[in-house]
Amino acid sequence: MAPTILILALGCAYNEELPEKDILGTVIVPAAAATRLQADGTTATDPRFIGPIFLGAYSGIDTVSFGYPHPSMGPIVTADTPGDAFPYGGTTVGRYDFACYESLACKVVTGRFSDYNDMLEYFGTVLGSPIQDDNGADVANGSTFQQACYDYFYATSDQEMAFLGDLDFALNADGDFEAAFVMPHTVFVEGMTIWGWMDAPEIVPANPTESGGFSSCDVSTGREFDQYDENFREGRVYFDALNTPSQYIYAGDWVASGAEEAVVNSPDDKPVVRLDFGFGVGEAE
Amino acid sequence: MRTHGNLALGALLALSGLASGCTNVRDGFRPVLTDAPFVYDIGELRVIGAEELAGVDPSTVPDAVHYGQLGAGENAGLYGGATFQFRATGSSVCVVVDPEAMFWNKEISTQSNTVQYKFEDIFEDDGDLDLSAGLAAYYTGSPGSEIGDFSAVYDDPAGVEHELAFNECIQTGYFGDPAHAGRATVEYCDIDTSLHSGVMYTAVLETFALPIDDSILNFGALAFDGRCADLPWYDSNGALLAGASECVIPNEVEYADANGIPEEKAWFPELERAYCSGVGKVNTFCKDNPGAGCQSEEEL
Amino acid sequence: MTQMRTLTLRLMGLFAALWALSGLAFASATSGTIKGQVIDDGGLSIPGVLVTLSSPSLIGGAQQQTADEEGRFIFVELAPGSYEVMAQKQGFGQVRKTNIEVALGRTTPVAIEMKVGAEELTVEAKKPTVDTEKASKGDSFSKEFLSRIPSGRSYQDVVSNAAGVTGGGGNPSSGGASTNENTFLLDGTNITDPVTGTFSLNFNFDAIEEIEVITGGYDPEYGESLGAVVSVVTKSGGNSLEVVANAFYMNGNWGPKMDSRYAADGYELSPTGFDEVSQTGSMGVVVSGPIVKDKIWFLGSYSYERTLYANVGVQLPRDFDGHYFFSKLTAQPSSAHRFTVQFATNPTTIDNTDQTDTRIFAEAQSRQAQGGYLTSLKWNWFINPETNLETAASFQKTFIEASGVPCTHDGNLGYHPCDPDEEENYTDYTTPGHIGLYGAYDSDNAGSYYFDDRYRGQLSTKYSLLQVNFLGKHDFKAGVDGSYLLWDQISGYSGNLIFYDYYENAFDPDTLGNYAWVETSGPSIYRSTGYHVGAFIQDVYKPVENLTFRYGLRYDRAVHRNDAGVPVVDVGLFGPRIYAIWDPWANAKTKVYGGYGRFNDTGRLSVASYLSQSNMGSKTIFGEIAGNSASGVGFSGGDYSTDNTITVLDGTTAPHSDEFSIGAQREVMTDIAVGVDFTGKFTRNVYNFDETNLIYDEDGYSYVGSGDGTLDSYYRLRTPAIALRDYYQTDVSITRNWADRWLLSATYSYVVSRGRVQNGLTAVLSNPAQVDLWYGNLPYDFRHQLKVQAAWDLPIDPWTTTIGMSGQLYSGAPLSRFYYSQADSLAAGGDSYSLLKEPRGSYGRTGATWDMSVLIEQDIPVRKGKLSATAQIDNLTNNQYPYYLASNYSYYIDTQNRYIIAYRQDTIQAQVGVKYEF
Repeated sequence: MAPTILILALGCAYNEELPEKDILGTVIVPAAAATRLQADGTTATDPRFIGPIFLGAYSGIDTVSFGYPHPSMGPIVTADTPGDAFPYGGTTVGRYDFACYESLACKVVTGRFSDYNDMLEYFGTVLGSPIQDDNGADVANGSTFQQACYDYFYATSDQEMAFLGDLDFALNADGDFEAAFVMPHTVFVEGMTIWGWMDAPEIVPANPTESGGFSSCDVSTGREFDQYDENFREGRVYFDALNTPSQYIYAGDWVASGAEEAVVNSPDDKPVVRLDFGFGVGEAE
Repeated sequence: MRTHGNLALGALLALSGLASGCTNVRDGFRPVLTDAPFVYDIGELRVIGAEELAGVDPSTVPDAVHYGQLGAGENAGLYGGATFQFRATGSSVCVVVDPEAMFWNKEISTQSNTVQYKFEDIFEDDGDLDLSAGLAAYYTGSPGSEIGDFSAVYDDPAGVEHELAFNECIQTGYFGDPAHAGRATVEYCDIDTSLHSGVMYTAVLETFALPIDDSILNFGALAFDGRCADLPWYDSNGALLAGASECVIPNEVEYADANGIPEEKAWFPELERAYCSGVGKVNTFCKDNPGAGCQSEEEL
Repeated sequence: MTQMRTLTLRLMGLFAALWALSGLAFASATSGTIKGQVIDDGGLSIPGVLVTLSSPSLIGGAQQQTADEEGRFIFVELAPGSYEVMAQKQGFGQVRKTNIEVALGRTTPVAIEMKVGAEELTVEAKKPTVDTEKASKGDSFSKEFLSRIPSGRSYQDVVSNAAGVTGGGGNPSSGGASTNENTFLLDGTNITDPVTGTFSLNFNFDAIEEIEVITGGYDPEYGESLGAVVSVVTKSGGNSLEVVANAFYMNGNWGPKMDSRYAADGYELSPTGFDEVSQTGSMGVVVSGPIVKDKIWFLGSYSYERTLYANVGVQLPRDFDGHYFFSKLTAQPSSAHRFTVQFATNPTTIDNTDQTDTRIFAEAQSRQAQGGYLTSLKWNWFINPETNLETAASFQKTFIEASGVPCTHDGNLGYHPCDPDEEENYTDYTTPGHIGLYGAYDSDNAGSYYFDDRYRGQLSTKYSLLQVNFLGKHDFKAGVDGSYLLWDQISGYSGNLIFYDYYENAFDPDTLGNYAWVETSGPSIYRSTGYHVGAFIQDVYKPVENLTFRYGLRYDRAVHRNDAGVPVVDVGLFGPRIYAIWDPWANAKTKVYGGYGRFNDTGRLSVASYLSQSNMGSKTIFGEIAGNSASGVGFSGGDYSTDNTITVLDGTTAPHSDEFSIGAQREVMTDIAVGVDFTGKFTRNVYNFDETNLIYDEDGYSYVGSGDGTLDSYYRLRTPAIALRDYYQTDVSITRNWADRWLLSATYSYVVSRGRVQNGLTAVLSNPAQVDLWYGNLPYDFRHQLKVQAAWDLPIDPWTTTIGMSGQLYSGAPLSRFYYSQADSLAAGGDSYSLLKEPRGSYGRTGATWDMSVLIEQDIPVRKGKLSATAQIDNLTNNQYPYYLASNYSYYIDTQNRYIIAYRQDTIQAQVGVKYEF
């Protein structure tokens, strides 16, 4: 039997020597990033204010070209377009998903809401812009919301709704919000930096119906749904959010400063991406 | 020993079978090799201005307007093309290539017959060239021997190389994606040379498809000082119009061939003038000249 | 004997230099073996007995041997059939043992008891029910089986009767492997298609002697496949002239044919009927006999098959017209040499190959010609009873030509008339075709063409050294084989152009217009080559009489190159195998067995084709209907690529399976054996593409970036360890071989087939966020499988009536629920539902499917020869199979969150035939 085991061992020893690795890490969103003005005029710290987090592995950080730390860019090729940051890999913590009503296109991020009532409260009370159905009437309660979703997606359980369920972020000991991430199939380059940014939702106190939207989501594209309106599309993220993030970062968004703890020197490193730079809002804390 | 003998016999049997198989490639589908070159370099073309182009027969200024031919290569999988260089003017330059001959699709519209082509194009004479252009320094091909593209390498701070595309001749398609025009269709683009005045640019005309009638692709090419929308040309009534089109470089079938226009394509100049003058003129020409570049009336 | 010993020792030294010694000796799936011993009535062996073997299946006449000092004798390379052994020795009564059956890959043990001074004795041999030297898994289908059990009269259909084999129609999935991972052998010659790994040759069913389907545990002599080895052995003829003529007709238009349809709320709608034309007629003749009695036998076979088949509403039925020729010459000029020469060809034309769609006009149909030929030469050198050398050479070409319908001057055909100046059968490769969308019709011309030529040249040699005494008995075998493969392919669109037409208002012909057209750069012309070399060494070792070890090692080296000569597959692999079989009571009635084997897949030329340099560029241009205001002659959108964006990762290995098995079988009553078997098969490193440029969000729903700043996909061929299958099969079987007028074989299998990749080449790794969810129940995970075959000759002499039946039952197939994927929809240019939220195959199951067929054969006494009439009904119970309503699974879920699956009824097919044997 011993020779057989040896042969088996030889077989198991096949090593692909893949340049790509899965990078596991943590992203930390400071409490200040989740502290926004509510409809009633008070500010509150609410994890539902955390927009999608875009994370990428980059060659370095450029602190000069923009008013915030940005990944190192290549040269400008096309006029009016910034240089490409050529990410080695990336992922998100929270992504855009369509939540059944046209009025919610490009306003809902996965991993932020646990159930329908949670969403109704966020849009209605916190933002002051109640969710409206496709006829313009306010959505009364969670059951109505649920039924609309079941009808729209031909679904029969809430587990099929990507935008509901487990929350990505939990409060850590420092009072900041922390989430784990996996960046799969990322080209490992020694010394690469994991950099990320959070797209903060727009808060427009003067006109609450405009609140809740995101600059990195394009309302005019995405899956077309023509039951009521042949021009209606569900919205989708811009496909170059990690390549030229400066096109979508506006004042109010939070950005990682590229600290040492986010640098990856070995595939087993567990980088910590701290979004500690508030663009246009000053430093955290 | 008998063992070896029979092994050899078996091997011979197998090899002879293979040998007969190897010659059984259906050559009828390959483009035919002709005298037309697979890859060649036109050289430098003078960037021609509007006044000169409007006042001259384009075939009489070979240093500015080039008529040429391209043919097939040995390897069926690869196509070649032609290249030329021009000097940046410091403002907009319009690069134009017009491959043989003309192509229209009779059935593109269900609207009224007056705006629809009545006669089908004879498409066997159509070839396709794809245009790209950029700074000569970024060209990766070897003019005259190998067609390449425009790229440069960027080394990021971690030492990883990335290839950047530097083709400045941007043409977009139906979805706004990078695209090229189809068979026999003129391709053109505006190059903004304001940042590189006096610097040499290369234009690449890559063969996408050769005409299936004779595997020779006649074409014309030029570089124009100005915007493509301002390119002058004359219609069949002699009126001077502007805007890059099939008509800017006339008669590529005649002028590209050293022996003049082949007899079987004698209809080309007149059909091209009709084509440049609208659908109705094409319908009239085809009706009066059945088989001359378009299907006859019987085909309807 | 002394010289033999010296030679033996020298060879043994050679073998001993390799640390892993031989494996299974003559489990050659092209012949059988008789191994026996002569003993006296006291149980002592009798040396020096003259043993004579004779049989009508034995070319070269009777063979004689002198039993050794232990009374042992061995006869090898025997064609399947019935044999007789006669033992003679001075002082003992002559014993003749008859009705000894030899089967493929089997060793038939023969024990002869001689009494001193006794009378002549004739004993009829009892067919062994349990083969105590065999550890491989699978079934053998003899002539008796093939003529009595209903099947589709092709070897491809017979294969599905074996346990653990699912799917059918020629390319089955065996042991959870994919349908292109089997190996097909014809009399030992590899006839597996070198490009696709499927079968490549058709021939007359009545020329088949026996079919062996080995689904696991096969010898190092066989390699290159992860699925089954299907070995077909043809008849060779005999000393008397035989003519078998047959004619069969089958009609599938009987019985109700209905779809069941379910509405969204779960209620069943009234079934819709559909019409189907399905007829097959075949006739054939096999002539065999001696050219020189006992020395040279011939066999010639011709059969013709014609099938008409039409889906509902099509304009013309698919017309299959095949001629199958097979001929064989077997010569044994002396007892030491045998030569076999074979030639087979099967020219076939299929008209109206596009009959799947109701929108295709007659003149837009395409026609396919296919066929090829196989020639092979084999030489067996019987150096002495314990030593033989087999050398074989073969060459095979197969081709497929698909193109538009050639024109005809035959006015009766009604379509595609030739122009007056066109030749008959002129095929137009320049007029573009039209494909219809939204109800519009395909018209004018088939529009595309495809020419494909595939070649395989093979040489092999095998050396056997049997009955070597060394701490027991060894049967050694070693061999080398080499193949050269070549694939030529040309494909393209007529005129390098294809139009897509469209009804602007659905189904309103007055609104027909051109939606878009595609221009291509020319035909794609592609050649790929490869070679494969295999070597093996194996031993069957019996330290004591009732214990057998079969072990050996195989080595395979394969290189497949794309059209630029770049090696895409470049592997060298070892495949060790070791099995033990134990007969605890040493009475050939029981066996306990188990073992391990490593099986390697050396690839197919289709894998190399993914890195082709000869891609066809194409441009899609939209017309005014699609809103292109440039009147369709401006700038085009769509794919334009002759660049190759597919690479291969350095150092890929090849897919392989590690298989463990354990089982037991016991003869519980005369001729009836009960068995139980457990097999675990673990396949790793299956070919897979990943994608290296695009960056997905956390769910794999959408792109959020790309490595190079474009949205181009760059695929990379890999053989990762996570591209895997885990397969478990537990069999309980009852077998009664043919005896006393009936046979029965029933096997229940409990199967678990899980993994990440079912097919031999997939792209499940393209979306990294989805990779974990892709591990689940594979498509052929039918948990419960039951296969039953039975036949009975009714005791109504002199009229012989045989009733045969076969039945298969499979429990439901696993279902996956897919959700809308933003990323894949962009790539597809339309809605794509390909996102998993739960592991694949965990959403539910379809219903069970079953299939039962019955055959009645009635012999009719005639003065000369044998005449029989056959009636067969397939799918007696008119069963249903799942037929999904739409690929958009989101729209077909009922209120209980179940898939709405429509079930389509498979037709009942009746077949009648007549056979005459002379």
